[in-house]
Amino acid sequence: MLQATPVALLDGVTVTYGQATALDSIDLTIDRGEIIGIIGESGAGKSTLLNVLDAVETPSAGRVLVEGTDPTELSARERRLLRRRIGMVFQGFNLLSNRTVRQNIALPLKLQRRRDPALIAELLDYVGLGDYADRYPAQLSGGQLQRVAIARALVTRPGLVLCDEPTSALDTRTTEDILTLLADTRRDFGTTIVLVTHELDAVGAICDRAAVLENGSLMSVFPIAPSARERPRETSYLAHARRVLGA
Amino acid sequence: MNDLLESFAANADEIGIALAETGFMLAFSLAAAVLIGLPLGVMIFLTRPGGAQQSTPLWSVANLYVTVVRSFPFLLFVVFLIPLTRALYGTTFGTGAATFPLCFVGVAIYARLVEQILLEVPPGILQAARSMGASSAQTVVSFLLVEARSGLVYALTSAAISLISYSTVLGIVGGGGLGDFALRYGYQEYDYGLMYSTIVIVIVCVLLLQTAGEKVSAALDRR
Repeated sequence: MLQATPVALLDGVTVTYGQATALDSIDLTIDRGEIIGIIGESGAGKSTLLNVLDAVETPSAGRVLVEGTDPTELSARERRLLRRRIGMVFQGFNLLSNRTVRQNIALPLKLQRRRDPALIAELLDYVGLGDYADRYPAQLSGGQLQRVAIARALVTRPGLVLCDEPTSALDTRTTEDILTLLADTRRDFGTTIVLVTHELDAVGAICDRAAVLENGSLMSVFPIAPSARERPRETSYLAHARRVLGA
Repeated sequence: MNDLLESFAANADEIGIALAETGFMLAFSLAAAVLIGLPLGVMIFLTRPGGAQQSTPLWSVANLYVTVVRSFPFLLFVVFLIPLTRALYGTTFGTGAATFPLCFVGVAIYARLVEQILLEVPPGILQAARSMGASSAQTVVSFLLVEARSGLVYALTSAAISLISYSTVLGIVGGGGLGDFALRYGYQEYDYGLMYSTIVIVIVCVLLLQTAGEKVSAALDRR
């Protein structure tokens, strides 16, 4: 794995809203090509951390470097341009319902006045939706929608993709498919992936490291144990239900 | 029934003219609604407290305009605008001059409807726009208006129907139109048959507009 400059570097990053501290002096390095899980309960600061990495949130104190630049030194317009180099995948997919699958994937390029039909076709096949290019989101299942969203995040060939609870709206089987797709993305494109989630299974399945947030503080960053990879591969929904419910 | 047909036939030309006058007033005020009301509604949405481009001065002025025009009794609004109408048109009388106050109302009605529809667009769409580094103009054109388009068409239909209703008052400044015709040739001439049949024409026009609006709106909706 390339160990050149880190994709992102946080040094004593603090974010406060009035009296409330959302992030408290976070030190974190995100290496190129890794998949890192950011875990914690609701309100732990996961989303704020993601917004800092996406140059949406400006720290009250500390220093951030994303893709080699400090967002706080940029103008609003330059921050917008930086955001174009970072992919984002959401829990609720956030696709345009009045645009086809193909148009949704092309949208980030269109905003940059670029066209690349060949790349879009390639990505459609990559996420397994080659036959769905001209469908509308309302005609797709949750897992398919998230595949479209991932293709959309990858179309600008970003070095960094931020995922905000990407599997929390999906069922178990679909979650596994989406996690596999994210792991493949890193393998095939070398994309660095930040996976924010409260689902420990998801982190165990594909992440190299986990960063644990609690009340805005980074409690620990540790490598994922190999045993966490070996999740029971259920052959059916019944087998899954039996394992979880103990019937 | 024969009386009705006779009086209808005798006034066919006048009815045709009245229909054209209503169409003229509606076309211009709708054009104003789309060209000025739509951007104004978008601006109110973006600059509102907590909006993407929050700006209290802009929002306050635009919001005040919409509220004042919409709460003004329309007949008094027409009278209130007379000095401005005279300054612009050189006259305060006739269909052209009468269209002027109607445009103000069209802009105000549609701006408010646009704001309401944009508030219904899921916040995730704006989140997506931000994450893709979309500019404000791109956010409006490539995200907000795309997702809101069927609602915007439907709202324009409602605005058009309200404007037909408002336009009936414009006889007071010689605006003409179907409402004025029904009042002068029907009501004031004690020809109630003619009055009611003119009202039926208005109702048919509204029904046609409503049906067309629903069809276009549904065709644009992929949700």
